[in-house]
Amino acid sequence: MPGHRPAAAFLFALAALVWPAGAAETGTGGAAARGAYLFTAAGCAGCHTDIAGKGPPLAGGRALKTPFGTFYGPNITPDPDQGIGRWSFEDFRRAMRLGLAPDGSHYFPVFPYPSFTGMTDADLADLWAYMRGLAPVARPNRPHDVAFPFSWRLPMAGWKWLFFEPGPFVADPARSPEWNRGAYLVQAVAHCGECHTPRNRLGALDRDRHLAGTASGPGGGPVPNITPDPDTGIGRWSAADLTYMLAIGLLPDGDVVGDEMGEVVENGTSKLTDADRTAIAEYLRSVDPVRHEVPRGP
Amino acid sequence: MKAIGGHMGAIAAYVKGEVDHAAHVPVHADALREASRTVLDLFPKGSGPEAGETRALPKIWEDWSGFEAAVRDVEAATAKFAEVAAGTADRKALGAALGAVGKSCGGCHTPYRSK
Repeated sequence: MPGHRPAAAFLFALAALVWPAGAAETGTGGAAARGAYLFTAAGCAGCHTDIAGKGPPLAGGRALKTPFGTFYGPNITPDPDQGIGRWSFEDFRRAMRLGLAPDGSHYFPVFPYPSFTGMTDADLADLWAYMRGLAPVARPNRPHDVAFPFSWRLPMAGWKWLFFEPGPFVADPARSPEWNRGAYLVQAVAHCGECHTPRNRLGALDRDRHLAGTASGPGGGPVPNITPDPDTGIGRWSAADLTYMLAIGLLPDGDVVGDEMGEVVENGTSKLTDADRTAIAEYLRSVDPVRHEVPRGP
Repeated sequence: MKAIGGHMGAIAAYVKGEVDHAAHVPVHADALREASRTVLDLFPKGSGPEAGETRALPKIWEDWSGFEAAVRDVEAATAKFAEVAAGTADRKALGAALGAVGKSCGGCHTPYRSK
């Protein structure tokens, strides 16, 4: 539409002149729309909403049982007192990239910043734009039910020194754009490894066994090995088996994924684009196969 | 239940493009609908963990009305799917409808089956 372009450009320039500087944080349209998609892919609602108690969206209260105690996801609505309404984008970026609260204290890695650290600045900005537009809810945070010494944040500095490598995802130029997209989604945004990778005694991800499953995951039950090992992992799955599972939760034997993965599919992966699901499948089928039997059932 | 999985798998094979037997889909869809009507009978009192190896959780009998409601959801979802399958061989449409069935499966498999 040739006639519209100069007019649009003029209006845009005008808007840029008169729009307050912080508006990038509460933008509508492009940034917030992209942020909404990232929000779905990252599954924030899953940990930050008390689904079982029918709590309001993102107002916190969901219990996450770990070997270190039970953590309760905090309120991340824009409420100024009970939520993160007073945060700047820089606060949000530091939380996601470095695992640091605005007051400088460390977050426990039950908040999966060791994965979110991989998100790009541009994606974090879009996600923030979306989150700023959500409904504020004045629901106070429930304190974690974690005993000393695990409740002590100071040693987290040491934990980070040992186990945490901050920094955004770096694309591998030897791989296709699709593979890199899949790697970015799995490693950073959808943070699959936070459930699917076994952890050491101090709760850090065992990167040598990336995605190889664990007998006791965050839900308290077994989490499958999703490396391409043919016997203990998903080595016998076709790419279509994988994308279809991500789309509707169906397993190759006709069963369906349940529990937490069912939530992931329903609220997350089923809402991704076909291209993104395909990218995830391509990445997953390329990771090192790890022979690690995770027993299922009671 | 394994029979249900078999029918789901067969339909999925078509939807995923692994096979081209479009005419088989309504066969499996009808079977799925009929099989889902047998599910309640498969869980008589006393057939839980106390009877031996099973993934059925005691919650089934503690919350029978909840369990029954979930099974009725599956009956409704599979009936709906059978209608869709009778009218189209379009993989995208079938895939979407199958998704609704899969969701209803989760209505039991998540709360009433052990991990």
